[in-house]
Amino acid sequence: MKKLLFLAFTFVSVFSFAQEAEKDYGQIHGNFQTNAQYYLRDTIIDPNGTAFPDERLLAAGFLNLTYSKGDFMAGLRYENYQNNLIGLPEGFKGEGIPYRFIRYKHEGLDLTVGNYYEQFGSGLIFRTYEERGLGLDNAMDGLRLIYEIRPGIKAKALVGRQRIYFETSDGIVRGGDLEFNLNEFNGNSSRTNLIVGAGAVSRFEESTDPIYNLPENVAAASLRANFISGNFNIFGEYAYKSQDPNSSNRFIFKPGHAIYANGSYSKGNLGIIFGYKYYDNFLFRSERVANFTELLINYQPPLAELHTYALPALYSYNVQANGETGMQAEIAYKFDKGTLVGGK
Amino acid sequence: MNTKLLKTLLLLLSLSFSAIAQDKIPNIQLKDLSGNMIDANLLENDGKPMIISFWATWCKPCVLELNAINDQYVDWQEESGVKLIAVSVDDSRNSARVKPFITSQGWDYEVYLDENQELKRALNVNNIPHTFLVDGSGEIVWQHNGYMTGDEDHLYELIEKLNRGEEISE
Repeated sequence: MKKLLFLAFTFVSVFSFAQEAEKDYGQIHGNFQTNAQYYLRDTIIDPNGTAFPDERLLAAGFLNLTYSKGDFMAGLRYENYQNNLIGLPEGFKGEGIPYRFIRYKHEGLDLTVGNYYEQFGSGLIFRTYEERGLGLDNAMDGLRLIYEIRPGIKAKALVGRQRIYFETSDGIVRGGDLEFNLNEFNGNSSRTNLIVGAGAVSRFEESTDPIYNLPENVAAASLRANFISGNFNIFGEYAYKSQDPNSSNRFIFKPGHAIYANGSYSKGNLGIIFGYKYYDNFLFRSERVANFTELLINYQPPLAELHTYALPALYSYNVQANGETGMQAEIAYKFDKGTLVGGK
Repeated sequence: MNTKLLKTLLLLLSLSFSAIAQDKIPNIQLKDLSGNMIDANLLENDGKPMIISFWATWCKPCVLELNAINDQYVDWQEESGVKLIAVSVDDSRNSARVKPFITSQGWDYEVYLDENQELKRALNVNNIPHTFLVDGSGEIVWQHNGYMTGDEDHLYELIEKLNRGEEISE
C-alpha cells in the first residue's frame, strides 16, 4: 500500500435513562460511536491510486445498550461497517447485532447466556476480548457458569462458539477453570497472598481430510501460581497443548508448550520488573484454517513496550505465531523534586 | 506491495456528553494489587464524592491526567474528602507492571485491575482516559472522555459543587 492522507471524524455519545417511578423497572444505558474517515489521495506518493479506497469515505459505527435490574443484566451491541476503515480487517462488512447476552448474578452464582468475554489466568489457554480500534473481537456465543464454591475457591465452566465477523465458527470451544485465593479463603485482605489456578480448554472441529487423520478434539491445559508479598510479586504459568495440525503451523503433528512468568519489586520511587516467556507451537484457534487474528482462543502475552503514539504504534511488535522466547527487565525510578536531576 | 502506510491525521474531533445520569457502578469484580477480588458496586467513600478513572500504563494522556491530579491530591482530599480510584485496563501483558509503575510515579490512589476489561465494557467506556464522578450515594453524576491540561480543575469545581449539594447538569 502507498501513502495516503485521511480525514477522521469521531463522534462519541453517552446516554442513560433511569425510571424514578415507584416501581423499579430497572435501568437502561448505552452509548454510540461513529468513526468516519474521508480519504484524500496524494498523487506524488501514490501515482497509481493503489492505496486509495474506491469508497472515498469509510465509516464504522457502534451502539451499546445495557439493561440492568437487580440480579439481571442484559445487553447488546449493534455494529455498522460501511465499509470498515482502512487498515482494519475487511471481513467486518455490513451491519448487525453480533453481541447480545443475558446475565444473572446472585451471591456466588454468575450465569451468562449469549455472548461473553472471559479469560483464564494470563490468557495462555483462553482469552476472548474486544479491541475495537484494532478490529479484534473473538467473543464466545454460548453458555458460561461461574460459581464460587466457597470464599476463595472459584470455578468457571463454559461452552460455545467464537465470533468470526458476523458469523460464528464451525469449531466448538469448551473449557473449565478452577482458582484458589488464599486471602479470600481465610477471609482477610493481607498484603501477602497466594493464588493458584488450573484450567483446561478443548476444541472440537470435524475433520473430513482424505489424507491426514487430523485430530478433531484438541486440548490445552495450564497451571499457574501468583505469590504476592508486600513489595514482591511473582507470577508463573505453564501451559500444554495437544497436537494441533493447522494452517499456521503447516499441519505438523506436534504438541505445544508455553511458559509465561514475571516478577516485580516496588518500593518508594523504585519499580523493577523482570519477565520471561517461551512459546512453542502454541497458537490456538477454533478452526484449523483461519488467518490473521481470526478465531483466536488463546492470547500469548508479548513482552514489549506498548506505545501510545501513532508512529511507534504502527510498527508494533507482534508475537511470532509458531514460537519464540524472550526476556525483559525494566527499572523505573522517580527522582524526588528538588534533587539534582528531579527538577522543581 | 509496500505495506507501509503513513497516516496523517488532519482532524480528530471527539465529542462527548452525558444525559440524565442516574447510574450506579455495576456488580463486576475487580482485583486489587494483592490479588484480592472486590465487587465494584461496593466501592465507597463514606458518603463523600469519589472519582473513578480508567487508565493503562501505556496510555500517556491517562498518566498525564493522574499526575496532574496527584500534584493537588493531598489538598483535594483535605478540602473535599474526595477519593480517586484508578482502574487499570492493562491486560496480562502489562498488568504485572502496574504496581512498579504506580510506585515509581509516586501515586497515592486506590488502584484496581480490570484485566479483561469487564467493568470498562459494563460502563460503556470506549477509549481511555475516561473519568467518572460518583456522588456520596454511589450515583454516577458526571463522566468525561479524554484529557486536556486543565480538565482536572473543572473536575474539582464539580466536586465542590457536589459538596455544596448542588445538582450537576452537564
